[in-house]
Amino acid sequence: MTPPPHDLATPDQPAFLSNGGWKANRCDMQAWLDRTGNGTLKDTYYGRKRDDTGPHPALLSDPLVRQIYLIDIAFFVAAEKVSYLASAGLLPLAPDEASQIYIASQVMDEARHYEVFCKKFADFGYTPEQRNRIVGTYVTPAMRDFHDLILEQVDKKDFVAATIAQNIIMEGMAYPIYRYEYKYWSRFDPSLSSIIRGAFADESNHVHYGEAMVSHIYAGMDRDEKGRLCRLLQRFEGLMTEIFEGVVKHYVGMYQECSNEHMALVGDIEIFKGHLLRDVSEELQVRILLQEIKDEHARRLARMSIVLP
Amino acid sequence: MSDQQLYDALETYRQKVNGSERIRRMIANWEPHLLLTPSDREQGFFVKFDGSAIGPVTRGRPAGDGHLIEIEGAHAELLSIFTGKTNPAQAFLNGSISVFADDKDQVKLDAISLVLWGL
Repeated sequence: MTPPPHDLATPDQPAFLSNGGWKANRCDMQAWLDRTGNGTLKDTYYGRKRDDTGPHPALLSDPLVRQIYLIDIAFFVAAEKVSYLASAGLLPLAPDEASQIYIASQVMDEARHYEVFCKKFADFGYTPEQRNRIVGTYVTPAMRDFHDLILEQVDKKDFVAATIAQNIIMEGMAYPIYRYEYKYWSRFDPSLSSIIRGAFADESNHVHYGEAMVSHIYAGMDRDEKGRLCRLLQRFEGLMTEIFEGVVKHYVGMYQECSNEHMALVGDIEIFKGHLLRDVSEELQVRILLQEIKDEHARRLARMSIVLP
Repeated sequence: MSDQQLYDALETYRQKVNGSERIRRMIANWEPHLLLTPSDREQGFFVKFDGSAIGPVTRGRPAGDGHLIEIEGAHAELLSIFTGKTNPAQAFLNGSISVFADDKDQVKLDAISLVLWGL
């Protein structure tokens, strides 16, 4: 029989979440039901609205659009798998009961994301084995290294490092990518777009939780501990930036190849504020995306009152 | 493994590209030489994209310093890529080939492979 987690509901545990500005009732399962179960997921089936009319014919008829679409989903599948494994590993390490319950809901979010993205592969006729082969083929070595790094922090039972890697860096730095992706696919497959939006909403919540936890823990650290946390942040941020630079450059080029063929369909998407897809060059898209990733992360650090040396 | 296999693979690649309307639209106004350099062979092969199709396969190196995409790797690796068994972007990321080309050219080659051979 598995012994219960030793720190569950210990009365003298500090209330990190309350101290970090989060009330316990923001973290409980009822909050999850209000926000997600009865909120973004209302009237959906595997993330699709019940009245969804299916993808645009171009997604089925143009082999390039279809392959890029599936590669994109493969990236999500890989990241969500790591996320549910990492979150599940973080659960017993969380410093208080409210955090444990919150992380339990995060595990559910990540597992659900994984499932809905996998369902997209199934909808295209891929078996789980074929899907896993594609995921294994297209996830870059740098992405794989970062996924391993997250799981390594969990294995080491390093709650702060794992939270930074998972909630602050992987999920947090990806905000601009989520925004780009849900806009880009909105005409080819509105249901994928709404799945990405829903996942983005969940990830935003996880990131805010991570910010609250990390900034609270950081505030109570001594100088050496703060130094270690800053070094971790810098290391993880550097690795993630490297991943984004490679992937964004290549795949924005791929998206552009798809858009060139279907400009009548996608040209008027406002891919960035004030920029329609038909008017914005690949180079500018890459520049804006990478800058947004950098700015987003800088704002996050400021919110956590962390100043990197 | 004979050189002829790589020649044949490139010839088949050429025919498939030229036979695909989708790819021909994709390579409109794109005019590089594509040179395959097997690191374990004396000579490679090249083709010329002429803005709407691919010209004949030629042994050696193209003359001049024009728009060139060079892919260097073991003969077997190049063969695997140009018969659709290995994804070129993946081979590049794994370090099993070197691609001397700008990002846009690499995107184009990867896109062609995806249309020809799928995932």
